[in-house]
Amino acid sequence: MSDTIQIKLSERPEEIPAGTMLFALRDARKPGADVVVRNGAPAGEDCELQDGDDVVFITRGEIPDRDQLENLMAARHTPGVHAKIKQATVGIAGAGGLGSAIAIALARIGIGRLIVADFDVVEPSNLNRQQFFIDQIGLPKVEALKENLDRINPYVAIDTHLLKLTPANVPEVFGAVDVMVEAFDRADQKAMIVESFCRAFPAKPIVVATGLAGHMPSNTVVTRKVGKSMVVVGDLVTAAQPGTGLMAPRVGVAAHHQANAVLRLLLGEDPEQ
Amino acid sequence: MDITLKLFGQLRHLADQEEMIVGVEDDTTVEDVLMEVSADFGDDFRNILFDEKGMLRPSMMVLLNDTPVDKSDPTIVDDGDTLTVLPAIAGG
Repeated sequence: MSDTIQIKLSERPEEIPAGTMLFALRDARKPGADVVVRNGAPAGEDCELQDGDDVVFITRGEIPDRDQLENLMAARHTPGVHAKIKQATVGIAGAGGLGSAIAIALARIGIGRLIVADFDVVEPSNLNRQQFFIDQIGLPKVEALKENLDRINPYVAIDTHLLKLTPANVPEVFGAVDVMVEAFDRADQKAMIVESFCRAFPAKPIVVATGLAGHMPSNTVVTRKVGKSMVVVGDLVTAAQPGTGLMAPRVGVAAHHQANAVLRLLLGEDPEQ
Repeated sequence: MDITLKLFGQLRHLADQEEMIVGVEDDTTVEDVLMEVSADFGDDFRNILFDEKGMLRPSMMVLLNDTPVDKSDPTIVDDGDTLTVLPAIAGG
């Protein structure tokens, strides 16, 4: 039996003596750390460290330097998941209610690259559901979103395209993606993205949303597979129209269904079952 | 010959069926199939699919064997094909 074990401390490989206790290592390496994360979960009790463990010590309220930050953020990403999604590229067509929330969710879990396209600017009427701020009114949505994503997770590569997507430019803008997300508002534009993307990249999955307006029960929004490469989120029937507006809670439910479907697809899991 | 027609959203509610087998003649197009079944399911069903000129609406997501059909170019169906129709609706 070896006298040492290999662990990762703040994502850096380390060799430590076998039998080392978790809290003893904390006291030796970061005295005063009040959050101990072991293998992606907070550790409330001391234990003997095992070969392959992934450990991070955090002092609450301390803003780490940039070099440390990604490692500390990664500490809460589930081991095995983060390594896969860090390599992934996701395309998002539309940076409105769906697109801005999907982008933030994917950035928080440490996606590798986002490609976001939208031609519009932030307006006051967007603030009821879209992930922007008052001082961003008038900015192009892709610019405002990149600004916000950089504040959340600066280690996500973000390619923005300030343009109107058309059947002609969809293949060029989204050619590099592993998973595509439709996040438009207009019904005809939703269909346009599906047609353009699926014809250009028939083997790549696309996650679409339709039927998310109003304040119907959250559980009427579901994720279902439609064919081999299309995943559809929503209740499929509730359109945005006078009397049935788009509101943050239900748009957010749908957006996070889409984000979770993306995550499951990237991990090779069935988004519906 | 027969094809399978899968319906989603409001079309499914109006037809009260998720999936059906439709018998078609040779050289039948996707539009022909949908116009034919519209005759069975009524004006509301047809008006979701087609505009006043009888053209498939741009918001229809129509897949033939998982591939989106080109609405500007008639597509002929073949025996054993699966035609999937999902109306996209506004909101995002």
